[in-house]
Amino acid sequence: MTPDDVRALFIRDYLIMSYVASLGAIQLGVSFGGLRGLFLLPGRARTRALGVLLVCAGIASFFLAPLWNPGPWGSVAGGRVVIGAGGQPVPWGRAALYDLPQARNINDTNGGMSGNTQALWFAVGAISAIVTTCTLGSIVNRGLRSPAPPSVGMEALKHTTFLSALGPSIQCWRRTWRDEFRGLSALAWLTFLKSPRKGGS
Amino acid sequence: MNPFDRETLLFLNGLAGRSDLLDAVMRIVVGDYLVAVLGVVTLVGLWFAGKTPAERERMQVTLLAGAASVGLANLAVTTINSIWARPRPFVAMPESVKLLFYPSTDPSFPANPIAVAFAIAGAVWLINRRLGTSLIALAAVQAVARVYAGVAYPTDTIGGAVVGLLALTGAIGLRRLIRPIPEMTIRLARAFLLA
Repeated sequence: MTPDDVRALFIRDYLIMSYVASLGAIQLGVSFGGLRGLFLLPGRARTRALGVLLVCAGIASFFLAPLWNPGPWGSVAGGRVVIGAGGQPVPWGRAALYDLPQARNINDTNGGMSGNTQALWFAVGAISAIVTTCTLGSIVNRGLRSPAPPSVGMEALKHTTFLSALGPSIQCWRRTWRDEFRGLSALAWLTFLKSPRKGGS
Repeated sequence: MNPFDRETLLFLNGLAGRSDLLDAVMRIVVGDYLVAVLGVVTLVGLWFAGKTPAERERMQVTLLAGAASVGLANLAVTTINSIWARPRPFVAMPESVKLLFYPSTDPSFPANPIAVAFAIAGAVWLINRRLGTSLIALAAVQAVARVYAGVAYPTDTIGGAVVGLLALTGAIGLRRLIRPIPEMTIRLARAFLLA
């Protein structure tokens, strides 16, 4: 087995963790923000409970997966030796409960994930979780209809679903983006002109 | 090596191997995944947690600064590593250190995971004091765990925390300097109902 085989295992499990945990974090966030269009269960309390459950399940799945997925998790001869230490060969198999705390401690040179790889795959998992939330939330809350005029941005999701608010929001943005861009350009110039104050009186 | 580093390292690392339960907890906390993922998941949740458009925008701008501070902290750690490649404790004192973690090959100072953990925890603290304090406490436990596991000196973790918080301060200062960029990002996200 090469470090790339180990890395593939890590990436798969990490992606599942980041997706499920992000899904849960989004449910927690929308329950506090009152964005009913993104609730996956009816009611704030249920949404919050689902959020906690998904965050815990996502993280637990990553750390418990070595119990049922074969990998380089087992300890080497002589007891609990850090995996990959000193270049010793590492047996490929399921981890015992005893080895679980150290099962994920594998250097990126031996197939663990570097910080950059983690950032990349977390982003993939989190974006997938956002897409899932928007889609499922629109299906689950399809009865939600806004009595008030549509609000701009995420605020609209308090009264309606993502899919029904998306079209009007993009149309509104297409009408105003030039003005907004001009305003921001002016702000950029003001910031630029105001920033070198240190030498001034 | 300074006496503070030596004495504290030998005391904390000397506790390793006495309790299987404590070793297990430290092995999980010291790892590259748990603390970082909890921090980033908190950032994701907070993105959606604002109750009013104004509160949401304030939180999201701070979250963008928090994300930028992680990049700045990594840049600072890489720069410091290229100037001073401090050997790890298990390399400098192989006879006295019990290693509970994989033998890291990068320099010891400053501790990169601690820098990232403190940068994220600091950003969360700016938005929500209770959540931020919990994440700071978790980052502090990770800092102690790294010394316990024999993978870093105490000053490495203190340096990591300082680098992380300075990176966050820098990102917030930079945010004020380049204000239109985060604002433009949020307005674009708002068009797609994501801000």
